[in-house]
Amino acid sequence: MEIINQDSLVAPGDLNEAPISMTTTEGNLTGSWKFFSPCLQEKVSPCRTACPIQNNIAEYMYFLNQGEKDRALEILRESNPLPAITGRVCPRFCQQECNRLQLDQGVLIGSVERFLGDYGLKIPYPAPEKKRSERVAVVGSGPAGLAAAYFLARAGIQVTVYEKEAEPGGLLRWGIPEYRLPKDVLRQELDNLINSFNIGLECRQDMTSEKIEALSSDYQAVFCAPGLGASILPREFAGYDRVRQGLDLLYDLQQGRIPEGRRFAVIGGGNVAVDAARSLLRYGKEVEIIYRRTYAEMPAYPDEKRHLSEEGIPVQEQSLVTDITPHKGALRLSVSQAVKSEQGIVPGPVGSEQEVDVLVLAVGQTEHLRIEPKERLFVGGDLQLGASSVVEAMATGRQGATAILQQLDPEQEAPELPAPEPAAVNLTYVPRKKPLLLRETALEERVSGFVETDPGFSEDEAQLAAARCLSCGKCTACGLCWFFCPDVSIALETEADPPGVTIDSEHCKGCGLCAFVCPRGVIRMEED
Amino acid sequence: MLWNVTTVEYLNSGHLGCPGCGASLSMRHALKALGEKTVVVIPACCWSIIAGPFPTTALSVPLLHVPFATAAACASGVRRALITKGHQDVQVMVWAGDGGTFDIGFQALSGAADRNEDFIYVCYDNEAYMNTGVQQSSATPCGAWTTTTPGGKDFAYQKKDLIGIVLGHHPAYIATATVSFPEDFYLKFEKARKAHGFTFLHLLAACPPGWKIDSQDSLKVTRLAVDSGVFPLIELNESGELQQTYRPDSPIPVKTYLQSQKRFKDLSDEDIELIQAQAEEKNKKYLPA
Repeated sequence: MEIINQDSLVAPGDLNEAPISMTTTEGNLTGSWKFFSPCLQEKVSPCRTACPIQNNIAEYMYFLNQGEKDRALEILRESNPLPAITGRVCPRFCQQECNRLQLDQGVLIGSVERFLGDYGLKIPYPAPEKKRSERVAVVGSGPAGLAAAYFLARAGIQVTVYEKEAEPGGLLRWGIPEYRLPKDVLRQELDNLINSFNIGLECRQDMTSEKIEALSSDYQAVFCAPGLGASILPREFAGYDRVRQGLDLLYDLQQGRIPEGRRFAVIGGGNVAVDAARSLLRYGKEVEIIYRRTYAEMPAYPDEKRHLSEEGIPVQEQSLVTDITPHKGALRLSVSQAVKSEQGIVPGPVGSEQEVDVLVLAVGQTEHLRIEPKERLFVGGDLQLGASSVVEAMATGRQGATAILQQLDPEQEAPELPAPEPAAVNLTYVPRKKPLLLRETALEERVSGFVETDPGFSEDEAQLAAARCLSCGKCTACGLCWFFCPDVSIALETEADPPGVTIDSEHCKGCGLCAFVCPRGVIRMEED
Repeated sequence: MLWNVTTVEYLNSGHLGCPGCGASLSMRHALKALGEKTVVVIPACCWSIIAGPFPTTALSVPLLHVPFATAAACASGVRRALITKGHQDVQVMVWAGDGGTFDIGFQALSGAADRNEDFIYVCYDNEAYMNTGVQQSSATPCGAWTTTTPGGKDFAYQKKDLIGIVLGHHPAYIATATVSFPEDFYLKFEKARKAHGFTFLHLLAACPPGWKIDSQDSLKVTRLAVDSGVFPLIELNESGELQQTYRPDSPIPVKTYLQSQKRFKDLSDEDIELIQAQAEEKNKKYLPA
């Protein structure tokens, strides 16, 4: 635009004659208009609600994201004494509830937990704040027993753990193959836990009901989690040398005792069946699974089933072994199609025969000890729950420890676990992120030995994964409420610990946009 | 900071906008996008009140209250005065409602656009004369309740196609935006700031009392307007064509948008079908994103 000739302009009048507003509107206390006030209220994330031991995932992810690894580990250890183990073998109930699944890809919580767990393997636990004189015995050093020992020891109790085998860990040690849980990780995790708290460990103690009774007079309390030590043996399979129990087989494999024979069939569809089959494959055996329902119905964890298929182990679905006959040093199996009827699953008319060298049964476990809980005697783990996951067993350990502490000290209030109030989140303004890829060990390398199938996350990958976590239910001072406040009434405190926001209630009109946009469900409108 | 937005505020709290006011939030971010060196020219509209009574002001940048019909004319004057005084780096922004743009300020707008005056004309469209108590304007959509259209605005009178009219004046830049799509909103203000000549931004601004919605739904509703195609986000591209800047992943029916507001509660199914058809027709004109 051309510059207008200065001379042609009419001289302006005195500007001071025009009314000019010079003060701000901040003197208008528009906060008096409101009927509702925004209130900050942290909630429980759905992942935490889904977790049997209620790991505070939103919180530790937040601190990991801030680069505070030690603080993240400390928060994780509040509820989980075995993160390097659960980070590997947990079925990850949490991930199925992740709010981020509705947006792009759920947060890979288990992999982050594993990273933190591995980071913590050499970091001792802090000593308990006070020592107490009471002594508690724990029977069984599986996940339930170890969790109970941890929560008791952390409260200052002197704990002694009794273990049947030569080394602690229970099913963790001899039920889970190395490609899922390396022995070295198990050893380090257990050593760190046991040494940090000076937990007494008595191995090779085969307990009977009587011995356990006796313990309850020597100790102030006994937590009993010996597991389900007996394998179910259907009558038609009894009495054959070449019929093996899945858990016994896994135990032998862990001890380096490899069974003879080339052709193996495994009956069952749970994790033990899959573990047995995949382990046998790694020793060069020909192996297949025979399962009475469909592949989709197999109760083994989805990842384990996927690995089973990838490794080329066939599954004969909807099949029943109706009869076995020894035949020239092998076993001849009569296999029928399984038919659903009113009496349950029964063999159908069509049958075939096949020959195997060894038949492995993995059709379930049952108790080997009968223990009735009573005063000072508490029961947990699989003996209480039936066959369950590591983390569910750990939850019983925590409950047992809490109950024991309560009994020792009835005055003390039980630690309150957060009520499962779901955080209602709004994902509208959460930027989408590229999904993370989970690396897996190459198939050839996998099947030729016991290298871990899942190589785990590097620190960078763990950071990327943590950065995807919204920390539902926890204010991270992300700034969305500040951004969308039409009344300039929200201040961010990004540097505060914990970070948060402050609301200028003198000016906030209570419109509720902050509560609407909050991607973590932390702001709630409350009637004045 | 979120979307790299400055933490400096040019809108003061204590302004007199209603709770959840889309026009207030839009102003806050328009000024964050344009910065300190901005003069705002406001004709009669909601913002005449929101800005506060004498001697207070809700803005920490210069603001001129001007008569209803004269926003574009006054802004032309301000621009020329600034040039004369050597302040070429100062932005001039008209901030007018739909009444002061579609109806009463229309000839001044046309004149300034015709002269290609170098300022940004922002119309924050809340689709009626909200300040005076919700009377219909030529920006009110068909079927909407106002106090002067108690049975819903007659379908004989469609919402005026102001974008089409301003486009006929060959502006330097033209776009629609709404603050519930903040990235798009900021990009368009940035383009308007850099453009030389007449620039027109049409903002959809939710009015909770006038649209009969809860104040906390004012962002949700304008997002529904975009996702349903009622208010497509478009801009004038470098080839001189109107182009969509955002295409919803999964378009929703206009019914969802209409049912989110009580001002449309008396619409019949046939009315809704008609509005759906109108929206589809309108969207066909724009190039895909």
